[in-house]
Amino acid sequence: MPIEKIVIVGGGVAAWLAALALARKTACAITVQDTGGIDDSLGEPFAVETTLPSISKLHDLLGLDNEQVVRETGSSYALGRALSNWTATAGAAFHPFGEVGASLGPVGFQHLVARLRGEGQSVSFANHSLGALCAQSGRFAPPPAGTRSVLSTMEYGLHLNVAEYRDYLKREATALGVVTLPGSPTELMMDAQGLIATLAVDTGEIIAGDLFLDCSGQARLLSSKLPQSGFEDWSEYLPCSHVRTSASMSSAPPPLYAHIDAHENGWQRFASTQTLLEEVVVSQTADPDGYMFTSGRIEKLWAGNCIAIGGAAAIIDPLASTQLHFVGMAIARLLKLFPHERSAPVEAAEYNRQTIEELENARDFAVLHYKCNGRKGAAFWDECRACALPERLAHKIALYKSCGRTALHDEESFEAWDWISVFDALGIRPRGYDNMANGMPKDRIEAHLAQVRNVMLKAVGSLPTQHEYLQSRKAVA
Amino acid sequence: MSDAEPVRNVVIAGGGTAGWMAAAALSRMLPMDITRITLVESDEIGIVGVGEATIPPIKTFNAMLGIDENEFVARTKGSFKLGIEFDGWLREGETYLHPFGAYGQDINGVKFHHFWLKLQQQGFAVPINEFNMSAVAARHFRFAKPNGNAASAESALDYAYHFDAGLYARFLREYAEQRGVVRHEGKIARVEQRDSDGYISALVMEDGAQIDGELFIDCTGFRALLIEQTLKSGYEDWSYWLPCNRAMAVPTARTEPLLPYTRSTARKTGWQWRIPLQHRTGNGLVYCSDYLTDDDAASILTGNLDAEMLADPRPLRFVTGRRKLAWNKNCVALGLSGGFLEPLESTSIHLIQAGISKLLALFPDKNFNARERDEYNRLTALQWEQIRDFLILHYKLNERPEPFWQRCAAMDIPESLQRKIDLFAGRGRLFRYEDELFSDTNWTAVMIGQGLVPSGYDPLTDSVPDARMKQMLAQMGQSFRQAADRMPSHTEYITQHCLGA
Repeated sequence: MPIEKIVIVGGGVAAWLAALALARKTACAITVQDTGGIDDSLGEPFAVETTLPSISKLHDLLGLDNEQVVRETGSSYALGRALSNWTATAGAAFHPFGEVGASLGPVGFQHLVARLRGEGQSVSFANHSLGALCAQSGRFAPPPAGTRSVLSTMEYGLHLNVAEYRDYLKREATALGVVTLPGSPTELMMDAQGLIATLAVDTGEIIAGDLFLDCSGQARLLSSKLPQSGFEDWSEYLPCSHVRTSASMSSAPPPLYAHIDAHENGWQRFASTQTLLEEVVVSQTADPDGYMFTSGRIEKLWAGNCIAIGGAAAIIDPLASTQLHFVGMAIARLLKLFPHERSAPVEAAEYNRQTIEELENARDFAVLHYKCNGRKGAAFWDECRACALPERLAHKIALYKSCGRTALHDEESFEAWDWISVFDALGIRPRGYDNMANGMPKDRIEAHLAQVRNVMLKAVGSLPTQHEYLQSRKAVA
Repeated sequence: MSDAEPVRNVVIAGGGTAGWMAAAALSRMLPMDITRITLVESDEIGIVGVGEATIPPIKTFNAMLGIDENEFVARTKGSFKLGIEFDGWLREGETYLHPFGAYGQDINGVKFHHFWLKLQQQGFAVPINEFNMSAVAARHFRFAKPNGNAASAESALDYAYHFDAGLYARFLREYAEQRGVVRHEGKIARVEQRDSDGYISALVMEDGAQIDGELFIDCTGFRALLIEQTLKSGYEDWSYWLPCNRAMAVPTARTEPLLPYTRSTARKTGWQWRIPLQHRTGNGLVYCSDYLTDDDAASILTGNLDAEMLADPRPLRFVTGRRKLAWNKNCVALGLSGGFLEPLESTSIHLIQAGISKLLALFPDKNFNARERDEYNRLTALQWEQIRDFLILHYKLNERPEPFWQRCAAMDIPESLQRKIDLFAGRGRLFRYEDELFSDTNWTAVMIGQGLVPSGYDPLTDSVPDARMKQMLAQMGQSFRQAADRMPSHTEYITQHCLGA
């Protein structure tokens, strides 16, 4: 029996992303069971969600246009993260999206920098990153597609106004025939195969479906009611579990980055959109006005005919802005493995295998920040440095320290340059580098770096400020 | 950086394809004004001409060296290869081509083969190779290098080469010697190791000469003189899954038309290769000694040739598997010293190439950091296992009646391969894992060729109306046929561009 009806539980961003994607790509009837309440469907109830560049791929899949999303929801563009106070010197560094610099022949840019640094020069990655240079000067326009301009290499994410974004998705999905019903499931009725047959909802309704998506955030309204609904807790690697958010109206031109500042017991983040400025404080310390989360994942992400997506599936410390990215990846993966019957064990096993790889790799990326912090003498940070390390991350760190290379695996959310940028931001300098960089004359490397920077600066200079760009698009609309 | 003094003295033990490929690549990529590369080989030691057929990434290797394609093909008396024809692998008398290059075009983000599967299941039995540029050209014995216009049907053609591996080694030797690689003629008498840590310090030649080095590359073939005889790196035996352990090779006279593909024909135990070159055809039988005597192998091989023999059949013995540590201490194994996979998918030269690029990417300093070595070994093991799985697939899915083949069909297979088969069998799902060499096209071709036709297709194909889908597929097929008609024959192309002297 083919899948004809999909029931999505949860009324937040995660639910509406899934609803819109499935409405576009399948012929199924789709119901969103709106459970109301605060929207923590992504994991934490942020007012501003900071995304990775993969948001563009997700929007392509959904048939949405980034520019229109930004305009309709008052959101803004983002080119990376500023990290301050993570090291002993209390300085700031920038983690831009996308690649940094340009290789010279077969030699990667980081090795060229290492060579010059080895000779006592002070060279910064950020000075050779298009994203960092744009973010510094506040200039931005979406890169032109299909040209040879250096601007076409720029990668960007978004700072989304979550409430407006959700409403926008809901409007789009509703226009495609997605039905919304109120109420939370109280009981699952299982069939003889052990699959969910129907949901009893607190409004008294009985909802039938072939495939169920749990997008209810940490409440896990479906997953927690299934047999064998274990949770793998990652707090030993990611110690923070409390978050307090405060958002205020702001019409100041938003910065093109999120600012992530480490403090005594954790870190805080400032992120802005066209209309909001949100401060998020993340720590290990309980906070009566805050929200609690546990980093980790449920053991079976796709169990029977139920798939958990978003915060219901996994939460990783919000440091790396991965929660919306995971929803996008989950949707794309579900579409690739779309089940042909209610029971699809082969597809489910593969889905779970890939997703777990992805979650663990991204977890490691977040863990890196804690593990390699340089705030010596502060109890919380000392403990983080002493904390256990997943073996795969231990290898990544050791290999980078040794020769400036990154060991990447399948299902990485972060590319080589993301890892390198963060290693560098945390003050880690590799002991060795590509020997081929030694084979090149020093002045050739210096000239290359100067040229890279000049080309980038010239391109940045040709761009409007983000504010000017957004204003010009408003005029168009 | 005082503690990271780079390696400046490289010794390559053994010539042949692996040794000279390494010498050529290193001499191209390392600073030769301050680096010494010595290659030690003896004219008395024969070269095992590892597979004379290649796969498309060889083009990247040659491009990295800056080699002109026409000159290379002419010098190696090579020909072009658009895929491999598998004859009798599913059942006697049934043939399929495993072509290079992609099938059709994806529609709305859904892989092409799902639309083909949907058509099949609706009763339109058009062979999938009608939708592959290389396959269509191969069927008509045609070839033309893609012109670079990405919008043209021709650009979907992908190819590799057949060539004389001995001539390739000679060609690369010239290249490497021009760049300063020093060739030292003679046999290695013994290998000197440092007392402190067992690292190799020098090769002592039979004439008494001592060749010192910092990094040693073992290209001594099956002998594995450095990596195994000296360093005892261990061998992982895969003959449970790939039981063939002998081969017999013989060249025959060239035939017409010159086929632009390799042929692999299943025999009652093992299989026979056929590799067309400009000046001769390479043939060989790969078999398992548990099921076939050498005499019977010789008579099967010589009884199944399509032209006169140019030499006596030459025997070869091997155990399929890989060296446990491809990089151990200061020694890296390239070629047969690193392991053996039968040439069923022409991967031998590719594995050498991949080993060289990884070595260049992780090129050591004199400290020989263990993490970098671990990374090299991790990536190498992964690549060998992925290719191993792809080879096992061919054997596992056969329906032949002979005891050898029945055993292969019944064997347990690695979990990684079982997962791929299960995913494909259901709805034609394919995922490419971690830098996998073989793409969706390769797996699709062989799985369908071996009779594993999925029972369903991706339900997301339903987003394209049937009439539109049929129209698009018909257009794709037609554009490939028309493009093939515009191409010269394989023979004409070679005559015009790259005829060997």
